[in-house]
Amino acid sequence: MYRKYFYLVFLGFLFLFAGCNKKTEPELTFCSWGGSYQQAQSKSYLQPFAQKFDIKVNEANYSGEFAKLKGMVETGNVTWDIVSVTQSIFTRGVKEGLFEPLDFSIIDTTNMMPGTVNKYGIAHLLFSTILAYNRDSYVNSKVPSNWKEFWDVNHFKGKRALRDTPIGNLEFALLAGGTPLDSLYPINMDKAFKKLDEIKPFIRVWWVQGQQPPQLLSTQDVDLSTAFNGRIWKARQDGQKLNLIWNQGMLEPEYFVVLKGSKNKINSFKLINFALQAPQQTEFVKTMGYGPTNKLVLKNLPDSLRLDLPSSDINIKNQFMINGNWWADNEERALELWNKWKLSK
Amino acid sequence: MKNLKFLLPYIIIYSILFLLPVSLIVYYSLGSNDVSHIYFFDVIKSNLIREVFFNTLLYSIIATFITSLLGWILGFTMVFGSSRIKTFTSFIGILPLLVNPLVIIYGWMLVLSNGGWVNNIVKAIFGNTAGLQMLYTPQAVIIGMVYLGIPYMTLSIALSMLEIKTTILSAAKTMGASFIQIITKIILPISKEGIYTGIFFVFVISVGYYIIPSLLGGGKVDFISTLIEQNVNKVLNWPLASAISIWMLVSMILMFLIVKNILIKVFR
Repeated sequence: MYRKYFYLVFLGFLFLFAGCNKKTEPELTFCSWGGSYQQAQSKSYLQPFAQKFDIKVNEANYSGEFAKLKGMVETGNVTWDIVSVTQSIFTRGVKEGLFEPLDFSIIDTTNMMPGTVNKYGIAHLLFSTILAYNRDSYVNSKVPSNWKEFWDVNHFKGKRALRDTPIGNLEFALLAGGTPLDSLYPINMDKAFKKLDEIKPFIRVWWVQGQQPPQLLSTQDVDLSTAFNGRIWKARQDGQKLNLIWNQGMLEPEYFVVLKGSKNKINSFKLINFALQAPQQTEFVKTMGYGPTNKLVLKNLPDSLRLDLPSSDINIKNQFMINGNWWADNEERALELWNKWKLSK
Repeated sequence: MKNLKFLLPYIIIYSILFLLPVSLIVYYSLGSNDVSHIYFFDVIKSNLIREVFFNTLLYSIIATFITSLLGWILGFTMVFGSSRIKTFTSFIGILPLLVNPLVIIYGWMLVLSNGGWVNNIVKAIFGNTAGLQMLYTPQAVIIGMVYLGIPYMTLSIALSMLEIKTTILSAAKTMGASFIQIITKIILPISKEGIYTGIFFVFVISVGYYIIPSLLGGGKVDFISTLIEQNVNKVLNWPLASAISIWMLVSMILMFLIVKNILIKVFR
């Protein structure tokens, strides 16, 4: 009696699973942080690569969620092949074994700067988390020039925004409290959170995606915000009246990694190799204003652009380099504290 | 039991696609492999989670209340208005359903933002250069929730109002009932069922919102879904996330039972 319905349901599932079947054209998936940054990567790395090697490159984006990478590797359902990760994600991922060792017979690293090449990933750029502001908001008043002044809401007006993460913010809080640049690590979390308590009521927006700060600043929904330097550079290039302050910024390398269990390993290595070469890196730096890691690139850049890079001599002087090891060991606990701190009144 | 055979496909599909994952979540929330720690009870013990639960319920109740007022008016004009008003209001009532919610929310962000047209008018009239802070406040979240909830409320209220025969209304009129009497004595009692359904729909949907508080609230308004997302994506505490979602499911079922068995019976 019911057999007919069983057949029907069974047939339905057959169709369902038939839809999951994959074709086998060469392709790979590249995941990065979206917005103007990923557009620049797409324009200078992915599209030329796809054309030259006839390999289809799909794009995905994320906001630095470590759990997504971990989940993919642990469940064996790896849908992203190459991921662009920050120093803290990179160090933690290497510790937890989430990345494929790179094949240096495919990837040519002869022209890379010292310290950028690792067994599991290669730094492809240097970026900086800095303080950015809208010039229109500060026509008649002073702009904060360091984190102490950012915290000083009485003397420095403006609606403020910070990134919704402990990474960077803890360091900035310590700097605001007077800790010198060279003794930030190991971070004293109690002290940092206590300092963050002071600024919390004055934060209008906790931004998540890198594209948010230039948007928020240009509409003057906030006047001051932390931001990634390239996004501000790009917005200024596009005619927005934004500016940034290099003083006490946080330098951080960004890596290309291949997730463990990727089904398109060889093609991914090819893409990484392609993206690291001088012509592609030059093209990228010209569209996005992040610091290149290929030695040959800096020579070919115009002086005006070179001064806008986070790694230029003038800009690098008063910045600090993130300590990836400390963050790899402490990120989990810091995040838990951060979320609790943010939700509490 | 003769109807069972019609239910069978649903039972199979639901048990595979819904019950199985949910029981996995229950299993996670009970601590899964680490039996020594049961996350299920962490939820009630934590002040923080309780507060977020309370906030979510509060915002949802406010949003549902406003939606029910606006939805009732819209439904009323949709059923009893002149034919031109009917077409107009039906279009307005269904409009939010036709556009992708994400597009709607970004639209509201443009409207409410500092450079949006509302603020431009305010600035022009009051000469206040700073403008009003509307975006990234709890009020903005409630506006978004109300806007997305309106079609469900309006449609269920309008459906129940359609049952009212126009002859009853004209009878009441000839007996000398005023407009207000007609509404309170006839239309309200009959459309009650529709209001309850609408309230239930909108409330359940409101409690689950994630994208509205995170976009319109600027990361400052936290809902239960925000907590779950944090625990799944950032903190990697999947057992706690499962426990929270189970509590959410349980409270929704309780809500349904309360509306169905108590509210409707008491106010019948």
